[in-house]
Amino acid sequence: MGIEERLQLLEDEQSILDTLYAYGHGLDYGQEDAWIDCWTEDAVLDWPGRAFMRGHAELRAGFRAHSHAPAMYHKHVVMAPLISIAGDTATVRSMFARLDRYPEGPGIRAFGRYRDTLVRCADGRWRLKERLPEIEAVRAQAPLGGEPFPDSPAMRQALVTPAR
Amino acid sequence: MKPTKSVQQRLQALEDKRAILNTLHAYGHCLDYGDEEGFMDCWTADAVLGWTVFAGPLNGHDRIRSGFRAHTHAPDAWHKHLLAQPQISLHGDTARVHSMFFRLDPYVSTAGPEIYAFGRYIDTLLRCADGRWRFTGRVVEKEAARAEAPALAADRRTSPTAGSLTTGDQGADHGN
Repeated sequence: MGIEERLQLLEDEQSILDTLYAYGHGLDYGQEDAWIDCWTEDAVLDWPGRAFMRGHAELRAGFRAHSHAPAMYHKHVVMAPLISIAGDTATVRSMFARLDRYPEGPGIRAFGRYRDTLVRCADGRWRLKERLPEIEAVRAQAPLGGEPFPDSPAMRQALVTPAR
Repeated sequence: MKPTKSVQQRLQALEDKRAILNTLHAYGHCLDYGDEEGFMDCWTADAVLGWTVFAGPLNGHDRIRSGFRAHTHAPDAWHKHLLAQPQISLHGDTARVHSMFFRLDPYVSTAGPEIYAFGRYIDTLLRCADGRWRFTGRVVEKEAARAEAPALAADRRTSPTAGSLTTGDQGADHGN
C-alpha cells in the first residue's frame, strides 16, 4: 500500500472508533442528535428480547425510552474493538460492559459483545448500519432508579415458569 | 468524500490524538504507581485539577503536587484508574476530551476487587513548546461511588502529606 492508503486506513479506524464512542456517550448522557447521527437512515439495532429497531424514527423512539444522565447514571463501556475494513464497509467485533449504580456502590449490570457493520457515508463519516448485540451475562437485581433487564436470566425463568 | 487536508496535516492530527491519549493514560499509571514526576509532567504550570475529595480545585503545580501526595499509590494501596472511550476534539494547539472512567479497588467485605467509582473526565489540553500535550484542566465528575472504604486506603483520606489541602464535604468520598 502507498502512504496515502496507509494513512487513510488509520483515519478510517479512528473515525470508526469515534462512532463507537459516540454511541456510549450519547446514550449515557442523553445526547439524542449525536446518538442518532451514529446511524445510517436504514440502520438496524436488534437487542435480544427487545423491540427490533430499523431506521431513524424507531431508533429515536428507542433512545427516548432509554434512561440517561442525570436522571440515571450508567456507563456503556466498549473495549477491545476488532476492526476489519473492506472499502467503504467495516465489520467490528467489540466487548461491552455496562456499569450501573447499586445500593452498595457501582456494579457491572451486564457484559457481552457488539457485532457491528458500519459504512462510510457520503460526508466521510462512518456510521452504524447494523448493530447486533449479544448479552452474555446480566445481573438480575435492578440498579438504583432502574428496572431489571427484560432478558435477564430471572425474567427468562419467570417466562418459562409462570407464577401460580 | 475526498480529504481536503494535506498528508502532513492528516498525519499530524493522528499523531496529536495519539499523544493526547498518552497523557490521559499516563495520568492513571502515575497515580496508581506513585510516579510523582511523571504525574506532574502531565500538567501545564497553571493547570486546574478538580478532585471531588478536596473542597476546591487544585490550581497550579504546587497544589496539584500536594494532591498527588495525599492520594494513595502502590504498594501501599493497589487501585486502577481506568479510562475508556475518549472523545477527542482538536482545535489547533488545544484539545477538549470527554472520557469515561472507572476505578477498581480491593475490598474487605467482598474479599476481592470491586468498582469503587465511575464517572466522566472533562479535560482541556494544550500542545506545549516541547511538543507534548498537557492538561490545562481536568474536571472529575464522579457519578457513583462505593460507600465502603477500599482495603488499605481507609486511613489515607486525611493523609498528613495533604499539607494545606482541606477535604471536601463529601461524606463517604474515599478519593479520586
